[in-house]
Amino acid sequence: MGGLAPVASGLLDVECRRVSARVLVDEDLYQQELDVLFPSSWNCVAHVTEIPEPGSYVVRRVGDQSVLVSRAKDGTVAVLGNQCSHRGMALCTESGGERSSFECPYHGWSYSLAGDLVGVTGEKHMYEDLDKTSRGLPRYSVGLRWGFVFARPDVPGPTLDEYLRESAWYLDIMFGRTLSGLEVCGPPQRWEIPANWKLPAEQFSTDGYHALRLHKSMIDLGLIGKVKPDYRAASLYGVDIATSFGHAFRCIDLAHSTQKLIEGTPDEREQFRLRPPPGMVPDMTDDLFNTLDDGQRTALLWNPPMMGQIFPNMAVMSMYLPTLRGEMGEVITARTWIPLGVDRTEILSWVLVEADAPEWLKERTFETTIRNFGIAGLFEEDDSEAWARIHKAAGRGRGHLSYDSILGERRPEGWAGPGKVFAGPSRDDNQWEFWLEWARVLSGRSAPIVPVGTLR
Amino acid sequence: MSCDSITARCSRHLHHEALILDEGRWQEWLTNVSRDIDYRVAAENLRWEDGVGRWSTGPEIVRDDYLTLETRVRRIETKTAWAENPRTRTRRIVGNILVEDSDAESAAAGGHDNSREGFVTIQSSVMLVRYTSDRQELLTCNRRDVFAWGADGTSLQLVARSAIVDGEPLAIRNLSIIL
Repeated sequence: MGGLAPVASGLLDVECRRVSARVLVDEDLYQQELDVLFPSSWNCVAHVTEIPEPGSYVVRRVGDQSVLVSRAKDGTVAVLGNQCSHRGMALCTESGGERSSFECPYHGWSYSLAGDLVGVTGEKHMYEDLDKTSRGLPRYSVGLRWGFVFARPDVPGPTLDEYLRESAWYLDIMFGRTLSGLEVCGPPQRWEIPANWKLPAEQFSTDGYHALRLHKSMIDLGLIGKVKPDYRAASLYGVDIATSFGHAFRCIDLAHSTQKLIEGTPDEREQFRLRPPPGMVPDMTDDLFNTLDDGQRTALLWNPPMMGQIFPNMAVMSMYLPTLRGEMGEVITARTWIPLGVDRTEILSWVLVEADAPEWLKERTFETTIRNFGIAGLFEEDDSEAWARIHKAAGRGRGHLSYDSILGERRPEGWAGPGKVFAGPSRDDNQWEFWLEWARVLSGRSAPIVPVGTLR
Repeated sequence: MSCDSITARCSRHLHHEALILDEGRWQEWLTNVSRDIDYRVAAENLRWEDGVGRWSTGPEIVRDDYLTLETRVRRIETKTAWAENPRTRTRRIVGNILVEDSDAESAAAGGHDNSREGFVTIQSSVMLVRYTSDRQELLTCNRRDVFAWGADGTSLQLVARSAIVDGEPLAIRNLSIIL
């Protein structure tokens, strides 16, 4: 463990499982994150359905770098630095739109949708021999999975598939259920919280414990965990998963919610038709037998991954949640925690729906999702308050965050999913893994992955 | 009623509503809300729409009916809705109040049917400052409201509100208040 710089410098205390609050407020660490952590990670920047046609683009960020996510003429997706190669001016300041090329307003250099320099104003007068091929926009490596566009500066490192490795098994269950796939339900919500980006990332990696108190208002209103005090019904129990590269998932046992709908029905196809996964109707469930394997379908039926965090700053949710009228509803969202400063984070949050879903279901998914998660979400309103309060209390780095409630790896019998498996009450195992990965990355990502349980 | 007196009554109502909301009297606010309320808040999405010559309005961040609004109020009253415990304080200035012309021609052009007996459509701009424990947050929005006149001909009941909040991203940690 001495090889991890943040451990060596006392930011992570592996004996006591504590993290210094300095990690939330230290400008030097923040600069290292921008210089090392985000550029060496795969960053989710968009969903392909936001840029459906050649010429569509959105303006997003990788760490502190503004990028253009563009659909080129040949239909491929390009992620380009939003900075003219001439004098460094931002090409686009809007959120997105449609264009046939990107032109710099300053001197008029223009770039194709794929980032090639294609036009230089007065080129013959200004240059003897300009090599345009070397003056394109910075081009990021692009990876596509489940329609999400991931980007990383064009540097050596794991491919997106290698980066997601075991996580793909869980993400397939959440986002790869249908042959037609997901689409975004309009543009994303975007808002700023006065907190370091790691606070939401750490919570989504996967703090099941907080729901009991931070979201107590929802329990008090009878909207979740109706039997008090029933820690199982309040979803404290489940299976937490930690995978390579710091990703985390939380699978929740449905025994205390919707399981009664399918108990006593032996046939798997019939079970899926009786209780379709979130965002699906019975007629769509045949797809599950083409898209998922046996183990994934079993997990989806009994113990599905409902939320997760893809390191460093993407979070995902796909879960049942009753509407306020008590009907079945669902929350399907992905979001990123975008660093705007050591103490400011933009949340960019999409609602996702299955492309094949009927309109009424898309509407219900949208409504249930924004009423619970988002800037005016009945749950998330309180989460953003918690993140802001933790950040404020950190001051200039006093105090620490504790992760010493340890469950240890426990794999339920018959669990088919990969990764480190922590079955039981949602303790701190997963979140500690987030911090270990963070420490590993800031140490140059060459440090070995240290398995939980052998820290001493 | 003359045009001016309608405008005066509508302005008075909006100013009174602002006071009720600033004072956190949310149950009282609900008593002036129709059971059929359609309450929406959208954020801006900074994509220029050439055809209409303006920025597009982006995602709806609130789409509420009476039950949802009532749930929001009840949630704050649980005392465990931490976004509003302790309560944030707001000061809102409601201005640029425009009572839309009620003749049939402009009603047809504007979408809302002002010619319907007993309804009035009002546009207003709101500048709202919210104070949390440690900072102040600024929010501005344009609202287009439909009110129903009460039987007495003077009271107004909110039937529809569509607010568009300026700025992307929004510089507020959450929207745990009513606009």
